[in-house]
Amino acid sequence: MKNLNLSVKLTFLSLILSGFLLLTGWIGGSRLSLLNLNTKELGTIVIGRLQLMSDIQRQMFILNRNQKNAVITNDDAESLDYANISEAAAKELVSLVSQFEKTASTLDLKGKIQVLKTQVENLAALNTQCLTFAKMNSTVKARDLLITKILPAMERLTQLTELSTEPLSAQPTTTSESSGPGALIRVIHDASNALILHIATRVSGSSITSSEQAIRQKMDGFFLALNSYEPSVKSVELELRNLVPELRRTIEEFIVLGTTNSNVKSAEITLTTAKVASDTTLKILDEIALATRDEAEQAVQNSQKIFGVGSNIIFGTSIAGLLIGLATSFVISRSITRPVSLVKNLAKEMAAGNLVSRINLIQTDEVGELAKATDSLADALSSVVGQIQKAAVDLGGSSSGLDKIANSLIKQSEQTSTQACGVSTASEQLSANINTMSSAAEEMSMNFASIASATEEMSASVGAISSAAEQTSSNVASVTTAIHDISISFEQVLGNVREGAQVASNASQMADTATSTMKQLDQSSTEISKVTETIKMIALQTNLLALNATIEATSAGEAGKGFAVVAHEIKQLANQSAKAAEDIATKIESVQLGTRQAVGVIQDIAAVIRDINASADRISTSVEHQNRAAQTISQNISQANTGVGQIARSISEVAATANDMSRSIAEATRGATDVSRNVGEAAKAASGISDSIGRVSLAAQETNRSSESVTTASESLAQLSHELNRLASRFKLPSNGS
Amino acid sequence: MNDDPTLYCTFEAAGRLFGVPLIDIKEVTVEANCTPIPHAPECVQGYVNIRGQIVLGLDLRRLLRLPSDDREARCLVIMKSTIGPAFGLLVDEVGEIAEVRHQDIISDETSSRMDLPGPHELIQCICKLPERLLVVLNARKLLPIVENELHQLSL
Repeated sequence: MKNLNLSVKLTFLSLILSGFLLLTGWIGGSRLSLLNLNTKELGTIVIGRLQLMSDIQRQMFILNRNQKNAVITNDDAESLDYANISEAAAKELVSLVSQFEKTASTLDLKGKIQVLKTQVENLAALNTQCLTFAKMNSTVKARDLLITKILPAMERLTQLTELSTEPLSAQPTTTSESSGPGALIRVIHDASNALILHIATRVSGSSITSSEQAIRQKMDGFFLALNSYEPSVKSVELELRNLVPELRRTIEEFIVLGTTNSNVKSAEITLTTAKVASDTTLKILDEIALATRDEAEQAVQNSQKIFGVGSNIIFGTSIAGLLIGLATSFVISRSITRPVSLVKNLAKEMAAGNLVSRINLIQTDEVGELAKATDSLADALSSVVGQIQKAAVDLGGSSSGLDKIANSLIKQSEQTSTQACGVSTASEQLSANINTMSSAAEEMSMNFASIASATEEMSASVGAISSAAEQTSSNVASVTTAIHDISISFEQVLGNVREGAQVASNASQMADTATSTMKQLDQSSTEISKVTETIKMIALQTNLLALNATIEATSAGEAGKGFAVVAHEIKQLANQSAKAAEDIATKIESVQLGTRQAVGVIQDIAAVIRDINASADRISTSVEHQNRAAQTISQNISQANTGVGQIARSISEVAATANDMSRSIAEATRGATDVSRNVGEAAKAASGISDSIGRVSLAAQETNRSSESVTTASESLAQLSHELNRLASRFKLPSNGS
Repeated sequence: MNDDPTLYCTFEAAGRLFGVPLIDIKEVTVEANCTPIPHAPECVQGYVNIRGQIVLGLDLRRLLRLPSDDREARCLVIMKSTIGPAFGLLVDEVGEIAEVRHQDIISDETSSRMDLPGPHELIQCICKLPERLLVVLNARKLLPIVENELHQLSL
């Protein structure tokens, strides 16, 4: 992945994204089609079922209405029409239900439809029964018969009876109560009343069989009475003979019709069993509707579920595609931006002077090549800077060593100065002592003069002389001690001076090392200069190559114009290289100048150190000279001591032999003169010491000054090396170095 | 008139700027080792081996009687064989390629060339460059000078 070209990476990314787009589209399409199928199925089933159910209800309604109409209507023809419609509705109903049975999908629904079917068949049977009765219409017929035929016949009978009795009115009948026409009219009235009652009972719907029996008896009685009646009028009798059988037939028919009572029965069926059956059917239809609703709801839920699952899958696929695409694009962009930012950082660090870091990217695409090129640039830069830095560090080390040496030299020189001061003090003390001795010698001389002039007083003066001689002796002893001290101080001075010489020779050696380091640096600079010369040479040759290329391009004419532009670019590049090489050469020259200045300074230091060495030698010589002088003083002092001893001896001789005084005094005088001379010599020697010490001090001061100039020189050297180091250390180099 | 600038290869000899039309130049080389020819005129430095081709090397300073210093000529400008026998000019330094427009070329008729040494036919024209003047040499007239000198020597 890392090593593919950018175009390949981008193609890969776009392939991933488009692949997921296609996948998402495919899944969405398949889910949608599934959903569509489900919805269509649901719609077809439910709508079909509802249609069937509404048809069933409509047919039931038609059935019931026509059934009722058939029952209610009195007209036979109308009743028949209604009945036919109702029958057709019943048939349609049965066929609809069997059709409905086919649409049943679940077992539960199938059972319900089965129940519905039986109910509908039951209803149809009841309907047929009811219609059969309704078609008969018997009660109404009976009533019509009664009103149209029987009752007029009865009326006529009554009239006939009345007509036949008119001739008899003259003779008020004896038999009127039992067999007269009046009785017959009563019978007729009873019979008509019974008939009206019979039909009335039928209409009211009460029990039939009992009343049928009763009316038959009554009618039999009526006809018996009628037959037994013999009218007195011939016309009446004839009419009666025609009328009665007719009436008998009509009444028989009426009774049969009245007994059948079909209207009531059909009404009964309509209002009870058929109603129950249709109610039940409706209830079952309601249940089926409910079940269908449930089924539809379930189907709706099912499609919601399908929609939910489908949308989840689409959403999930889209998210997955998005995530994978994002991850891939992140990886790709990272493989580009990370090396580029690395290169940028490296370039920044190089600009800031840090040459340590490298990218070391293992990647073979365009970015990897860029990183490699940057790395090699850093390598080249760091190798040049590294050489400069090493030289600068060497210079710094040399300079600090020199500084250290100069410091120790200063310390030594200060010690020498201190010692010289001590010697000076001792020498001054010596001078003072010698002066004291001189005054004592003068006093002694004066005493000798007083001895010479007044020998008598000598005895008395001897004690004083003796004490003076003793004082002299002690003074001389202290002079000896001082001289000894001086001698020791000289030894110390000598030691210090030798140490100083050693230090100075060390410093000289250090200066030599610094000089050689500087020369090495100079050599490195010269080598760099050589490299720069080579670069310049290469630039010149490149320039010439570009020139030749331009010449060739010109020869090629129009075809060579593009190449001429390239040659011009190469030429510019060569000029830039030459300029860069020139810059480097200038910088190297300034480094060389600095190096030469440093060498000059170091050589100055070496000269100063040689001066120090020389002055140390001079100090050594003068100290040795002083030492010799001090020894001379010591000798002279011991001679003085001897003289003093002689004086003491002479004085004791004076004390012992007063008579030999004159000779002794002469001797004493000679001794005193000796003393005086010795003391003079001692004073001279002491002043010589003082002078020498002054010279030592001077030399030490000179040493000190020289050391200070060494320090100054070494400081400027250190500054120079620091400057050099700072210039070089702007660049950080890899630790393994090159 | 043709608006395309004329190209000249410029070079320096004794601090002066000279040029030759670029189309007359075959190539430019550096560090030419000359094999001296005995009895040759002073301006003929010797033969130069350019990748197997032997070319006569002429010192431009001596050819033009220019003040000569200790510096050795560093570059060799080799002319095309269309000019004549193969020869090259030893010059101090090769400069840029100068693009000169027509209006900047002063024809040899109008120019004052009295300050230049050598036969006047040597100078083809003088061009005005932004900073200095460019003396364009007629490469075809260079060899006749040598021949002339040879002739004088033989006398």
